[in-house]
Amino acid sequence: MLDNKIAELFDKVHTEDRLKAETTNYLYAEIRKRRGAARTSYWRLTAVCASFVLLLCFGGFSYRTYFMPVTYIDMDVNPSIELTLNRLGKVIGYQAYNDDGTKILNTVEVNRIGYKQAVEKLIDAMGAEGYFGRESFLSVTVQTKEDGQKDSMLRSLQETIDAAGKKYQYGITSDVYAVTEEVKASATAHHVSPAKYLLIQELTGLDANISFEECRSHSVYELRQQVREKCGQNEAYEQYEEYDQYNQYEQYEEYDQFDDPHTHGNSGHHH
Amino acid sequence: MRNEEEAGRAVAQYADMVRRICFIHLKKYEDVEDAFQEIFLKYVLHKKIFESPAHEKAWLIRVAINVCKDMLRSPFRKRVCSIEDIGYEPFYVQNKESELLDCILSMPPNYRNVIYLFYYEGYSAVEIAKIMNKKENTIYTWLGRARKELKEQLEQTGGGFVG
Repeated sequence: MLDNKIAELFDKVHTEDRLKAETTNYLYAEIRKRRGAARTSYWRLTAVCASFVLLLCFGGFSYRTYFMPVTYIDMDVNPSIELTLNRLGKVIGYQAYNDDGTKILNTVEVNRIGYKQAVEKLIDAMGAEGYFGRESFLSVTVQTKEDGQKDSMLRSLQETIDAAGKKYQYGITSDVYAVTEEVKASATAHHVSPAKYLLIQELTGLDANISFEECRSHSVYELRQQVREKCGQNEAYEQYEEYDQYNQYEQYEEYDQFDDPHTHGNSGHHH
Repeated sequence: MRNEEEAGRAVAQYADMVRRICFIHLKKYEDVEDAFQEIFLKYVLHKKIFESPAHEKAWLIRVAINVCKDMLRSPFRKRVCSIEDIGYEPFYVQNKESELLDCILSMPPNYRNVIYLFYYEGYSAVEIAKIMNKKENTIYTWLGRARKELKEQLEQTGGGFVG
């Protein structure tokens, strides 16, 4: 009997039509809203992902552009220093090939600055250490993947050196020229600057009794003197012509471009 | 998420059952409205596929009971009372036709649930135990006490239908 009475009681409870209709409408609206939101979220997520990928690519490209070595400038008096430049001409790396170079690099900060400013700073530091006297010679070589900028870079370096040389009593006798990637690689393999590498090669070619190792510690000026002693100035020019014939070194192109050092102030290009 | 068709079918099929569960727990009609909509929204958002219509019904009963409980526990609802609610009585009780209803609604919520599920929906104590996630013995105890309480109260008020 209780069962029947409870059943009768609950049978009277029905959902109001208004509540049913309102609930149905509410559910339909929620379904539409959430589907729209899910779709929007999907597109938003896609857009965010795409932006992230683009940003990553751009960041990677920028990083690669900034930190990719493009040019090497090697300076050798006796301190022998190499600067690594990026596409923008900023110094992104440096190293010394000898103890004198290490000492100079310990006194100046050249990282992340333009190459002209870096060369100026290094010349100042070398000058302060007394490297630019009567018997000194600065060789600067450039090896770059940016062929279009090579000439302007060589001129710019020569101008920088000439301007800096005015501070010293004897000026700075120098040569600035480009070298090929192969010469640079060979010099690096021997842990000397390309300029020194070429001079030692020349000297050992002239005298078989001289070893590469014993020339390593000599300054550029000393090496040039030794070459001069071994064959005399005219013979040295002939030697250059021989190199030119094989088109092995690019510096002979520079030799053609620049005047003879004996007729052009302090800027010397040949022995 | 379920689609409009499934939502419409569920409301049509289970509206009265859900309404009855709300009825035995909630006094305010606005709470009933909120709970009713929330229960079906949970159904719409429920991703799992039901094994059978019986499974679907049992799931809705359980959700309905839980939503009503949550609503009664809500501190906001305990503190806030609108002008319309003052002096409000469950609208089915307004004609005072049933002392039985008074007895049921005066019992603890768990007793109300087992009374409804056992006497009206026809579930066994074992099935109710599964739906409410309780031990069978607990359900038997609640059922026994609820029956006893109903009997005593109805005897006191002179209701002569207790079998």
